[in-house]
Amino acid sequence: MADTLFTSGLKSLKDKNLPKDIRSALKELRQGFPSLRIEAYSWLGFVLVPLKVQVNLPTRGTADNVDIRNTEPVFLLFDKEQYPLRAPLVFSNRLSFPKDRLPHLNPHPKDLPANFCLYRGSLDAWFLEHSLIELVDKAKSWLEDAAGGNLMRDSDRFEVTRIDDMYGFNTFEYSKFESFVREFWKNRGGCGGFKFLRYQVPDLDPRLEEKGYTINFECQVSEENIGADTESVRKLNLLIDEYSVTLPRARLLSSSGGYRSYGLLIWPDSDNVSGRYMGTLPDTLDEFIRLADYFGLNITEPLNALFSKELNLSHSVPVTIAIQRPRKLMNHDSEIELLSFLLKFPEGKIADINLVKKETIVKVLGHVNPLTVHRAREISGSHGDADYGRVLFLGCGAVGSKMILHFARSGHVNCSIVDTDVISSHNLVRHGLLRDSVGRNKAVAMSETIKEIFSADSDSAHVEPIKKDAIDLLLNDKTFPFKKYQWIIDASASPVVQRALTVAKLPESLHCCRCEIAYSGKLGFMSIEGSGRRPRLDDIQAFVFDKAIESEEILKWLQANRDERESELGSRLQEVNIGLSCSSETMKLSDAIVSLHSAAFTAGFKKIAKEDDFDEGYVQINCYDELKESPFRSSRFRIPGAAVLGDRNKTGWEVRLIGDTEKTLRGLFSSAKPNETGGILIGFANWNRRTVYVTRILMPPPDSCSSPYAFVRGISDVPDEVEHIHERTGAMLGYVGEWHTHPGGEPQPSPQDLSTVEKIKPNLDKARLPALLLIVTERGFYPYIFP
Amino acid sequence: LKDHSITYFPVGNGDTTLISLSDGTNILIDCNITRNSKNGNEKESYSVHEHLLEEMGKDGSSNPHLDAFILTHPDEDHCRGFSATFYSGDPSGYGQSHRKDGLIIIDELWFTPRIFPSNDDELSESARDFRKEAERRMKLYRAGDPKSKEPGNRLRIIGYSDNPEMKGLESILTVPGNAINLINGSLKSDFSLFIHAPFKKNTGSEESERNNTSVVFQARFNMPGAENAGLAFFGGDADCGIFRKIVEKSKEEDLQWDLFLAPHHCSWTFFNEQSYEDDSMPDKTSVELLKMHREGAYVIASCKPVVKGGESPPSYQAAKEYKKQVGEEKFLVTMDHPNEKEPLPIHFIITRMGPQKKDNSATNAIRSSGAVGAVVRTPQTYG
Repeated sequence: MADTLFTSGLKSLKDKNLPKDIRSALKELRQGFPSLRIEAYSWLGFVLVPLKVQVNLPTRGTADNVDIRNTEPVFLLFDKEQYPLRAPLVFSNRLSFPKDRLPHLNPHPKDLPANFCLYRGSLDAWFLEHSLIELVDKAKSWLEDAAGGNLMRDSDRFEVTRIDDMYGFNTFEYSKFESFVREFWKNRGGCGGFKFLRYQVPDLDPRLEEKGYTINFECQVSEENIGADTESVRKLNLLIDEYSVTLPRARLLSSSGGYRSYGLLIWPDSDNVSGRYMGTLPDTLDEFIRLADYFGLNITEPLNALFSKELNLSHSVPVTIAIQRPRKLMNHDSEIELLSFLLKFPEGKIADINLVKKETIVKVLGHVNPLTVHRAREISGSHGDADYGRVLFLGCGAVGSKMILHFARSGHVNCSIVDTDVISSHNLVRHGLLRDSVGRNKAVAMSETIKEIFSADSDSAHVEPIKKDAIDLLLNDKTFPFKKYQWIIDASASPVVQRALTVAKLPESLHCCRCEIAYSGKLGFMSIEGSGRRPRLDDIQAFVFDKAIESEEILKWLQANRDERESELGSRLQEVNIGLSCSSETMKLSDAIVSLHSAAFTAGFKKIAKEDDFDEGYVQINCYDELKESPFRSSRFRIPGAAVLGDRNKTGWEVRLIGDTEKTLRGLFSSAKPNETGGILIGFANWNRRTVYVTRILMPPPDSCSSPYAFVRGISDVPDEVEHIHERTGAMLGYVGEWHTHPGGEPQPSPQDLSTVEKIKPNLDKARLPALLLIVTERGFYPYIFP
Repeated sequence: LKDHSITYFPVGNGDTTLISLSDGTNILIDCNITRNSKNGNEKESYSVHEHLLEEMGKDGSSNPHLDAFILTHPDEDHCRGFSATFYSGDPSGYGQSHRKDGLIIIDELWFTPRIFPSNDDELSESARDFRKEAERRMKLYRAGDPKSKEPGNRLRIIGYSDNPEMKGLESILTVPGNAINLINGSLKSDFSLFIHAPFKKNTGSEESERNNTSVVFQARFNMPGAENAGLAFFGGDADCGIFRKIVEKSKEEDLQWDLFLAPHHCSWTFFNEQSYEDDSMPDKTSVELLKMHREGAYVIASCKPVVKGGESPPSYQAAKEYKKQVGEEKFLVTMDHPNEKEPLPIHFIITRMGPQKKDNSATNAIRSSGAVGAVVRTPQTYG
């Protein structure tokens, strides 16, 4: 059968009138297909090159008897300006090509024959690495797959209509629309029907030359409620118009969800199933009606109903049609395909849409699912995350805001945010919030931002701002329901908040985490307490100081901190201020570095929260050094619960054995038995908290003498060792006491012990250290403090 | 899932055919692989070994493995290169050097034992290599060694149970006249082989010629919703007499085909026991079998290009007879496809509507990477 070719009748082009790249393309094709006559034709500014492709058919004919032939005429469509950066498109050159029977066709203008979808990704990108001959070969493969019924490898699924040139988006939950249809079928014996839908429409009447028009499904409108609904909607629309004179329109529209308008969902009888593909989509109402007819949809009646009930609040009416497919769709767990269009009617009153069939413009809308919390989790791959329960964020500054947003974006939106501060313009340099939050309370602005992200799922986003001082909340608010929370994440960078957290009486079930940036952004620490607050945040801090003995980064930080203390204040401070308060204008730190640490904190938190039962605590240490070959490194350490020992002298002091120190002491006790042994304790004492932190146990010096009833602590190497630790930790850690064992089990110091204390105490007093004597026995540890 | 496919390799006058199933199972029928074979004098025109290595699956230790190798009969042009392509011996002994040589482990070996002559001298070296490996496996089965059930030791024998030599091997015996879908320990729902020959008389009788005792079978491919979507006929080097018996004994459905590998490299023996010069009339049962083809069927002649007056096989007259049945375009010659200068494998995928020839770039990709592989694996000398 002779077939009409698309290219017949087109004007042929002489080679010399073609751009250089296309001339060389013709040359390549002529070499590759020496038996074919390769000529170029002109069409709407494009260059068309027809070819014939030999197609191997299955022995007994084509699958489902689709009309694919041994020799298929095709043409390549070259973009004169952009070839070879734009790959030529390959079309069938046969007007009778069965495009409505085949999947894997690209959407294209309807007067063109089928355009084969040759590559799942970007064909342009593929073509950068391939030749024209390979492109034609791909077209041959496509045609052979079409003939063999192999275009759809996932043969259980139906390929949905591909929309290329979409005008905008209709945002709705697919399953909801599907349930409207199925419920109706169930109740009405499978009859076709329609429903009025209410939409939020930021732009009531779009300018059709522009793209990006988006509408958000709000609710369905029942017949009996139409009057009341339209009345309130008209009022709202008027209000928006009135206020937009005084308020910035964009903000008004976004906060109110935009204007409201009405649209339609239309479906066929339930026994109307169609496997037809749509080669082209309609762009006039006339075509739309014909297409709908084909799928058994009556759209005239619902549209006329919409007009007669005066639901046409604007000239643009969104219409979604449902088509029942023979198999489940590729991207939805449903056989019902939903396609949305925007119908732009002409101005004036319309009594019957049949009268405006020609003038009405039809545009295709893509579908997007609204962003729900569930979907956010899905997209960010957070489904495997632990359920952190409710989180109390202390501080919504640079680090806090970023972490809160990281949490929210991955679908963790069950939190309260504590902050009294207001966003000022300089905060925008490092804060997660933007310009429209300036002047507003940080906690409030953040909560609203998150609720806006999940506006389509407001029931699931439980974010609450608390405009209270964190310290006050922790120490004085007797009514605050801490029990509701599973986590406190302190991102306040305030040592006072940390102190308050340390001493606050919190429920057993609440875990504490603190995230802070230090040393001009070169370090970041995330501390996570173990259950029962062992180790506690201050224990973890002591552990970090001890890490300086091995870690160059922490060493440099503590030394820099010491230099600062000694130069500015001229006196030694016990406290080292870890956190950098990023709200300060004088603080020099880029947003990128804050984000780097905040992201590492959040990712690290997720990992730890997922896997651990918090027998132990954690610290994650982020190191950033732009000069290094690997500039960023994040390491995680487990920290056993600290042993907390009350002073046997009842001075109110306590001793906290950090990290492995408890284990080390037990080991040394056992290996020396039956003899006594002992040595020096390393750590620091905090007079304010009346606490001695022991971070490290020094071995008995080699020149010590021990017997079952006596121990003389030697001195060899001891001064050097203590001095080394002192230097390495920026004077944060040093000698903090002495330990020795009583293998006989007596918990009390012997007269000899006491006399030793008397001897050393005057020197310790000068160093503002309490004398600490720790007696280790089989049964436990007995500290004696002589402040 | 992949497509079911059949690939006929250009290996001169000889057979090498690969069946690949949608679940990744690979079955090779005969081999005539020249490169590196011990007495390979013929020049290799296509790197079959490299192609196979590309296609083969990897076992648990990342070693290349073939699910099943079916030897139709032990003529040199059906097992040439056996020991240079495949691994022989206890699979646990497969080591670095074997991997380097690209030796493929055969999970399950299929053959018919009585076609081997009692005297080794009558066999080519490749056939002796094959026999040695088959006997190693038979020994394991006879001893009831549990290792016999492991890939690399498995065996399937086409034969008859009343043969005393088959004692102890009954569990792995498939009797001609039956279909089998158990391949390499896995029962296939979408593939089976119907075994037509060898016949009892042939295998038992002393004077039977090996060509006459080829394994003959029909491979049946199923697709979802299409039983027997593809039927491919393999006859080794069986001659007219064998086929006469097959046609007489068999039901029509067991004789149908979409793809027919012309027996004995397109030799006249398929059409008549006499030479063409002595009797130029094709036997009517041979023609009857050819007429069992379904619509659009292909005949594949695994041989050198067919030339009028040229050396036979391939027989020009036989080719003419085949073309009479399927048409000029559906008669394909492996060494002349797509052209004589650079022959490439003839590749079919199975669709619901029958086999579909594929000569797209996918084959070329394997060809070029196979070629690179061949270069890399071979020591190159420079002056």
